[in-house]
Amino acid sequence: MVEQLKRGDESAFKIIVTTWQDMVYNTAMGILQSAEDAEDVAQEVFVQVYESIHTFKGESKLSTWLYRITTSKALDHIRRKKRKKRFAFVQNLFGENNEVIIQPPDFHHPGVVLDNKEKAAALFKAIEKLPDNQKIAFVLNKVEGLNYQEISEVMKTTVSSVESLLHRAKNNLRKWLQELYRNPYD
Amino acid sequence: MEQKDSAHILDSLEGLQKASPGPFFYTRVLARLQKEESGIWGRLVAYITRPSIALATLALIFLLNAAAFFYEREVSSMAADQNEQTINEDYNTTLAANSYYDENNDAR
Repeated sequence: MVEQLKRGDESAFKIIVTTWQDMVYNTAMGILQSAEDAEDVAQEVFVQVYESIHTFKGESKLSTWLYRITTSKALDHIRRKKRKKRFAFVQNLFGENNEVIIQPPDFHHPGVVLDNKEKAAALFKAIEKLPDNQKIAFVLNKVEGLNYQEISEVMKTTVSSVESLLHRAKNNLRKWLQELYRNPYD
Repeated sequence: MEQKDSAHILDSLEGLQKASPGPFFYTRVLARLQKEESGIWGRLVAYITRPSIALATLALIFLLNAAAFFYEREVSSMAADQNEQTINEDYNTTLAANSYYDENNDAR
C-alpha cells in the first residue's frame, strides 16, 4: 500500500485514510478533547502522510508512524491555541478586543460508557494538566489501548521510561482528582 | 475524596469505544489537500511569520546593521586619519617650499 502511494496511486491513499482514520481521530480526540480540533488535526495528519510518504522508510509500522505524526500535530495544535488565548488575553487587557474569553465546557468522549460519563469528564479535565510526555503516554495507553512496548515505539523511548511516565502520570492525576473533589468550585 | 474513588475515576476509561470522524472524511481530506497545494503562497507567509523565523530574521537584520555601522565607523576614522596625514604632508611641503623661497630671497 505504502509503495503504491509512493508511486502516486490515489486509490492507495483512500485505503490508507479509511483504514486508519478512526485511530488517528480517536488519538487526536484524546489529546485535544474537542471533536472540532480532532477533525482538523486528523485532516492535517493525512495531508502530511500524502506529502511525506516518500520519507517513510518502513523501519517502523505504518501505524507507529501515524501515531507519531498525530501526537506531534496534536501537541502543536494545543500550543497554537494557547498562543492565541494569550494574545486574546493581552488584547483584552489593552481594551482592543472586547470578546469575552469563554472557558470550554467539560469534555465528554463519545465512546465512554454511560455510567462512567461524569468520572471520565473529571479524568479528562485532569489529563489536560499533564505534561506533554505523560499526556501522550497516558492517552495512548488508556484511550488507544496500546501496551508499553507499542507506546515506547511511538515515543522512541524504552519500555522502562514508558512505565515511569505512566506511573508519574497516574500519581499526578490522583493528586489533582483528590484536590478537585475537595475544592469542586476552584 | 478517598483514594478508592480516585482509583475508580482512573479506571473510568475502561471499555472506551473509539471515536470516529463524521461521514465523508476522505472527501474532506482531499479538499484540504487541494486547498494546501493551491495555497503555496499562504504556506510561505505562514512559514515566514512563524515566531522563530520572524525573530531570527529580525536578529539577522540587527546584526547586519550593527556590522555595517561598525564597518562604516572604521572606514570613516581611517579616512579621517588619512586626511589629516595628507594635510600634514601638504603643510610640511608648503613650509619647506616657503623656507626654500625665503633662503633664495635672502641670498639675493
